[in-house]
Amino acid sequence: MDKRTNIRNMSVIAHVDHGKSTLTDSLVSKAGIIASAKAGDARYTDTRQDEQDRGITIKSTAISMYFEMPAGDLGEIKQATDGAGFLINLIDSPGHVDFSSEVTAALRVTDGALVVVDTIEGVCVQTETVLRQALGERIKPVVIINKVDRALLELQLTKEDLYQTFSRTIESVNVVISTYIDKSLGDVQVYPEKGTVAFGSGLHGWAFTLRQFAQRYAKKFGVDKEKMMTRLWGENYFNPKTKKWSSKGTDADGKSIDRAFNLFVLDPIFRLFDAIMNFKKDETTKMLEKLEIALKPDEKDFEGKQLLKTVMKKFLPAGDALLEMIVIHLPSPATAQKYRFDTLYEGPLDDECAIAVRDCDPNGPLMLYVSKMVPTSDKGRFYAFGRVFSGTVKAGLKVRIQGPNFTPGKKEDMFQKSIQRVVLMMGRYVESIEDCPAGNIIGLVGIDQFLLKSGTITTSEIAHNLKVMKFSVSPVVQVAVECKNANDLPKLVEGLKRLSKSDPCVLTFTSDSGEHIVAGAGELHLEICLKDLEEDHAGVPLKTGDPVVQLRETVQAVSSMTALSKSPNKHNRIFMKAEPIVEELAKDIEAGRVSPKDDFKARARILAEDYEWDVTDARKIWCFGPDVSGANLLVDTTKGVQYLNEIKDSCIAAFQWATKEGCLAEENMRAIRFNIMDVVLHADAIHRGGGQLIPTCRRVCYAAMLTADPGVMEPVFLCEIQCPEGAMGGIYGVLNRRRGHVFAEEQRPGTPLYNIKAYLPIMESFGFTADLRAGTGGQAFPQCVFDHWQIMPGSPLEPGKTKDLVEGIRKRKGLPVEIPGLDRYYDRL
Amino acid sequence: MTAPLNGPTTFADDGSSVLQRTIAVPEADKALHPCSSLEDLLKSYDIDRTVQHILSNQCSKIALQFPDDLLVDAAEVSTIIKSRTGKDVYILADTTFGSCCVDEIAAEHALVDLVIHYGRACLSPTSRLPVLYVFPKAEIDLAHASDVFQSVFTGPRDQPILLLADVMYQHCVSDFAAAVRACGYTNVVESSIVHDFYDPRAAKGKPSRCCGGPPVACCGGQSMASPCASSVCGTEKSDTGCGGQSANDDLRSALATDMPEAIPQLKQHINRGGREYQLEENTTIGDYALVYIGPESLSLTNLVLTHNQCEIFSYDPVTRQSRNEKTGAGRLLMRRYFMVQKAKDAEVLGIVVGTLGAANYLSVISHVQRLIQAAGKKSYIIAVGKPNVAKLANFLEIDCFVLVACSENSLLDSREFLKPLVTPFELEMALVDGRDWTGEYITDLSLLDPRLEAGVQETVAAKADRAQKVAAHDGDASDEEPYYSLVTGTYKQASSSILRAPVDSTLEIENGVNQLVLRDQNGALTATSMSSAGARFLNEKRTFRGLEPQIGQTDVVRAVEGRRGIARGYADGEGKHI
Repeated sequence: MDKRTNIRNMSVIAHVDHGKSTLTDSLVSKAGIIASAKAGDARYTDTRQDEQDRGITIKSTAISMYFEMPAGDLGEIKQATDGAGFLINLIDSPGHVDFSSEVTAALRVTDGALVVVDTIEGVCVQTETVLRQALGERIKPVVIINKVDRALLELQLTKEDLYQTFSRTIESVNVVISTYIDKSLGDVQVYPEKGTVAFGSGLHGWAFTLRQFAQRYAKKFGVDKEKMMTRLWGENYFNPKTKKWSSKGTDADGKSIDRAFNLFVLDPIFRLFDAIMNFKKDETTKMLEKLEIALKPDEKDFEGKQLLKTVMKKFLPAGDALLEMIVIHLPSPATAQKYRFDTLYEGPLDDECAIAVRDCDPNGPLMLYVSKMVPTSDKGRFYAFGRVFSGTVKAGLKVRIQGPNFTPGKKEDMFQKSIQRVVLMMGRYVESIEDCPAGNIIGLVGIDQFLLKSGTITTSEIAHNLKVMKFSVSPVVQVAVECKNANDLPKLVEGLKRLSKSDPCVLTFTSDSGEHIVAGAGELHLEICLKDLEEDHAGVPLKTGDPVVQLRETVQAVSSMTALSKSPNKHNRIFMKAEPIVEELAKDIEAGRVSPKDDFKARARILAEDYEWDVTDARKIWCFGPDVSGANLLVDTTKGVQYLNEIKDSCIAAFQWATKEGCLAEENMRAIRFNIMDVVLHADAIHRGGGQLIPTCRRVCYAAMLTADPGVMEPVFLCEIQCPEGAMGGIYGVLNRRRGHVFAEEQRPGTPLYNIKAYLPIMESFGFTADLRAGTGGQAFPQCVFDHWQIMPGSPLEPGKTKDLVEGIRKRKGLPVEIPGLDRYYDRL
Repeated sequence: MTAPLNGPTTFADDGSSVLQRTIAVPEADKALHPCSSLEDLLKSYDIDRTVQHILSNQCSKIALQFPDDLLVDAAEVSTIIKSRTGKDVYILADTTFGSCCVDEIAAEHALVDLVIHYGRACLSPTSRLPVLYVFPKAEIDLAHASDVFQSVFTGPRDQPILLLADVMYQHCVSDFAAAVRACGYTNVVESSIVHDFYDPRAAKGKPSRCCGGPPVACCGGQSMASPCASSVCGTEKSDTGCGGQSANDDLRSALATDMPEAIPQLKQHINRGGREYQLEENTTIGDYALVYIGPESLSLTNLVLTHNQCEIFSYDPVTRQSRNEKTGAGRLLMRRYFMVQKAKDAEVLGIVVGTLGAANYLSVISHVQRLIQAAGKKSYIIAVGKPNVAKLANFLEIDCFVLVACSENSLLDSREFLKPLVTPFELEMALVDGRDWTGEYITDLSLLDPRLEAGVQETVAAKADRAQKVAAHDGDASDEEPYYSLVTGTYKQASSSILRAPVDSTLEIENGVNQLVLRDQNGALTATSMSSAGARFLNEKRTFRGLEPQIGQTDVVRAVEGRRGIARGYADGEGKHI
């Protein structure tokens, strides 16, 4: 592990059920951690009981493995190496979209990704999502096309069909890659002929890259191995009669000849399958001899699938193929950090920390990013799981622990502590180590009480944070929990804290009305979280309420009149108008592309150029809200008002308050621009203090909002469903009942499957998965991820569904049911 | 103010609107109306009893305290009393804090030796002056009330029931109890008001008297079935003059006994929120269902919160409706729970003085202050009279307010307030380690006082303990562990570690902690090791830093007369209006 050029940090990512954990088994067995016979069934990285039961991965799991490369192959590695021993830190990640925050956390600490794609299903929604995330983090992908055995055994595809399927899949992976490519990463498209694509079956434990076949044939044909690899893919044909290569599918006589890939790669595999599955014993024995596969005595009696599995595992062991691909094509930390460091570090790119990270320098200052917390066997304690980007971490080292809100030079969110122990994460076990240099993925003991979920650990006084992770999912579905037994409250509170630690995405907090809220990315995510909370973290019986979603209050027009509110002493007046912010700008603000931290001139330019704002207005944005970062703006459009600077703080405080608790249902506001039109202030400072201005400014915000055609926004899932044609009717039916609508529907080329994309209001999504399964006979499985806010039809002020909804929320929150009228906020001149 | 009042034109008015302003009378007090005839007046203001009391106690100066809505009768009542007793009579109105409390400060201005308090009262014991309460008496339809009662209580007839009432319905409690018993309910306990006369000086004189003995002059003690004549409420008792007073002393000391949950003993005597009652053998208050007669008011809210383990039904004689208060109580408590969380997160707390009368307020304030300091937070004491939104919004640097007030006024719902407003009990819950939210709720300052004191000591001890550990740990733990904030759902750094000025060695921190304790004991407030929270706010959060000082650029001039007048319009020396 001291040789940072011989480390590979990689994550396994894919769509749900494409076989990540199963494939990981092959690698784990190769490292000798589990018996080879068990590989494929054990799902070693699914450490939790419910993961095993449900057959899905919920938490990402890391394993460190050591391999020796055959000396002859070392020459192919195109980056610096040091010896033949390699340390592979592998993280198996969940595929379900609800847990994609786990993927984000895994990607941050790795440099390469093994993208698993199902031969039959091809590139799916989540494949695309995780690929996009990986590229965003500047992570290099390699691909394995998995479940080839199913194509052979179940679909009985011909060789050419199989080739076409492969090439289509690779094509679509490359389309995704080229869409989200980051220039500094170079060309990271995958090519079978370069060995960055493998084919195989995780379940049966076999896989190959063209490299392995090229190796076999290179000697036979006496050509260079690399040249052979290029010949084994694409439009390269071989005429066995003339023993000539050609680039056309026909020979001189017009007879079709076989594609080299089919002839040299698929043919042996097909023949083996055929011989074994059809019980042609003689042929099998002959082939085994030819391929130099020796069966053990007890394996000789195997038949059918069992024999096939054994033979294939020996013929093309998946561990070897994947390992070679990983070692040869994925970057070492030393290589990767050179181009990753500028996206990783928040501070100036020429300070000592940035340079140490760039060089992956084990002697530089320690820079370590903790991406998640992993529960220990000791209840309530966690390993801080992370990657050493520079320096060396060791037990007893005194470090600075910087939380996500740390700003250099301040003491907030910063602690100085010693690391108690450093451990290697080995799936279900950990192994203590003395120290660990840059480039490795490790677990730390003794700092979990200072970081909630993630953070930066450093020894440098001047270090800025390593960039905070951005998740592709947000916790939009909430549920209130309470303990059945009132005396268990302290345990529940402790449990909420632990739950929050153990999951990168979940939020736990107390609502205004005193309810304990757990917020997750989707229904499945919440279900798992609540189960963990009840059984593990809190350990007390719980009652859970119905899931609820948070709405946003907004406006749909410019205020019909200038709203006016007077201060309690009647000596100050604020005139204000509200108007909607265009959706694109609201999204930009939420994504941080337009942010309160920007230089105001630069921001004004963007607003003026992209959103047609008046430049003077754009320069006078007082603040963003709620929480100083939300998508509402307070803009000073006054001319020549005296003392205006003095009341700015009061107005900002009031604006934050108003946007956090809108007047319709005390939900956050969104996409509203409040323009201060004019202000009349008392000449004496004592009469225009915060006490007079804050309540007034809050009221005028409400008044302006109520006169600007207020509306309510609900969150909407983007829902992608893959299904056979026959199930489409059922899907449409279920979606219609739930106010969802399909906006894209396309057939997956070469398959009878359709891809449906639909928008589904999250409010209506509870029970959707089960409903869909029932409605389609279990053929459709949705992947839902929060997409956007959508305005609900109807005004909350006039009788109708929206009003009922708002009043329902008010009731739930214990507010007076009636929405307060304009007269409560508007004062006449 | 000789100059005519014509300030900025937009705001100018001649003040007539103030004179014509109608003051909204709280909904709860609608049952009372100003008296029309003299006879009425004599009766509803209990003039006879008052006069007798004054004469028998030989008071020389008397203050009459009226709430806003009864102020119309003030002149007449004072005239009568003055003429009948021949003593000096002062009228107190527009109290600084809630009109339920005795305004001792105002009364002391007139050097009175007795305050007569009219209208609704929270019955908090006073700290300096003796007070005689005269409660309003509102009409009630007893027949209807007992009908409603029967429809609510359909359960077993021996369900223990405790009757409580708003002060203005207290006069009918025993009649109501009799009516209820007549309906076949066997286990009815009625409550009475602790005192209609309270003298803090007398109470202080005999502090160690303990109750638990035979009940003296209190409600239906020995025989539940037949309420004895002396058991009803104040009115009759007052006839016994001083005798009533000594009885009150006994009752008063009941305050010192702890919670009713102690051990079920014989005939527990309980005194809470100015009401007293005796529970049956081997029962606790949790076994009882509470019936409250009176409209929705702060007293009811207070009752609901402090008795949240009981079923509570209220009957409003004006609307003639009954309500189960338990559901509302849950919601109210949850909301308060949220406030506790907010208080925990606050770094700077403002102690709002909400009473200058209720006994123990001074020691509660000082305990609160010490508790905040011991918890490593910063506190400011603020006296703004009745707290309202505008007044408290002036203190942007304060994260959370603690309102020290009488039990009824301390429960302000702070949805309209910019910053949360908590009670001392909630603060104690938030700041003392190991205090869990059990649902128990205390608003009574005299009960809170010892509890807070214990809390302060615990926190100080815990802190010293931690400091020692830090020292032992070789300076490793220079910062306190962050805690999990339930408001934001994230870790929050203990405020002391942020506020603390940078310290070079752990030794200094340790010293700092010790000094902190010492200073507390000496009561001296020299500069602490923390930097000023207010200054920090100005430095870091506020954008407006005041006018440019332009030091050295402005000439020194002689002081000139400034502006004078009131906010609406100023007049300067030359009569020029700004």
